[in-house]
Amino acid sequence: MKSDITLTEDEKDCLQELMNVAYGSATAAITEILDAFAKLSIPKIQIINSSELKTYLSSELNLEVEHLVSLQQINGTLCGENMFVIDKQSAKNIAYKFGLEEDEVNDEEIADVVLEITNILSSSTISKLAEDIDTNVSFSAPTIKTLTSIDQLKNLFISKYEKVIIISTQLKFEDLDINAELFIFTTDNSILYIKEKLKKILDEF
Amino acid sequence: MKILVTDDSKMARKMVIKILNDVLNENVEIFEGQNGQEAFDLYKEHLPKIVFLDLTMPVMDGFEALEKIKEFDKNAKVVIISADIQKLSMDKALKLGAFNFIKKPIDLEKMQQILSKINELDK
Repeated sequence: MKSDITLTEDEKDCLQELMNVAYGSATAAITEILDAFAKLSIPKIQIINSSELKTYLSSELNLEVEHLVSLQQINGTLCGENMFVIDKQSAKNIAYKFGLEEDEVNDEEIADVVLEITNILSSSTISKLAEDIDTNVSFSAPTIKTLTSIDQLKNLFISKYEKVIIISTQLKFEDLDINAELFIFTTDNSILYIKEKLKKILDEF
Repeated sequence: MKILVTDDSKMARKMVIKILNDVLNENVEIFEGQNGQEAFDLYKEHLPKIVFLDLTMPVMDGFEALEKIKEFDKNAKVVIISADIQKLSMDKALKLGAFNFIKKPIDLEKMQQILSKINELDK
């Protein structure tokens, strides 16, 4: 059965606001740990064909410099994958901010820091979003890899679905040179579930 | 009473307006803005008694709008409603002259307290 896998402008606006609140509280947790001030961006919501995902990511990410990507599967009614992408220098800067000395910062330590940030940022954002749309999620352990080409993203399991919803938002610090982006990809059935919940929320107003 | 509600999200504006209609026992005239520039323009045009202002918005963010509104009218009552709940953001907003700061999602009791305080000031 083909269903209407699109969101109206009002539904997008509603999801954007829910994400804004969820991401705001997750960012506050990170900034407290790092003792830094983050400039929040307005989350972007898009639904694209999954076949277009790699092209989309190629245009969004500057892979001329080495990036670290942390992927974490989301299980439950809200099913999909979250992806935290950070360039290596930004990841190093976070490691320094965590108190590591220059000679202590190696690939293993950097990976550890990125996984920790992913856990805090992604899990708390998605958990809050799930709570708002009245469901529960669980997470698989995040995996991390170095990314220099978009073709390295072979394990995006969502490629077997027709459409993906992309929720993306940036993490930018004013006094700390850190730039990173969080993507949440969810799949056909999850999009329909989200749509149904958004309709209910919108009906209340 | 004139109230200005500014947020780039239509849903967020509707949510604030619904709360205002639920808690206020008087006729209110509500103006809506979608960004900081609109907030400033609407403020100058209508001189609302209270401004509810988001921080993360396109065109002009809430900090800049707050600064401009306070420059224009140092007595303006601007209440920030934001998902940016970093302590530094709250401190910055209060330093720029915000009357108060409400974290999203909005706590109804906090909203009522703030409205009462503003009403008390008029007595």
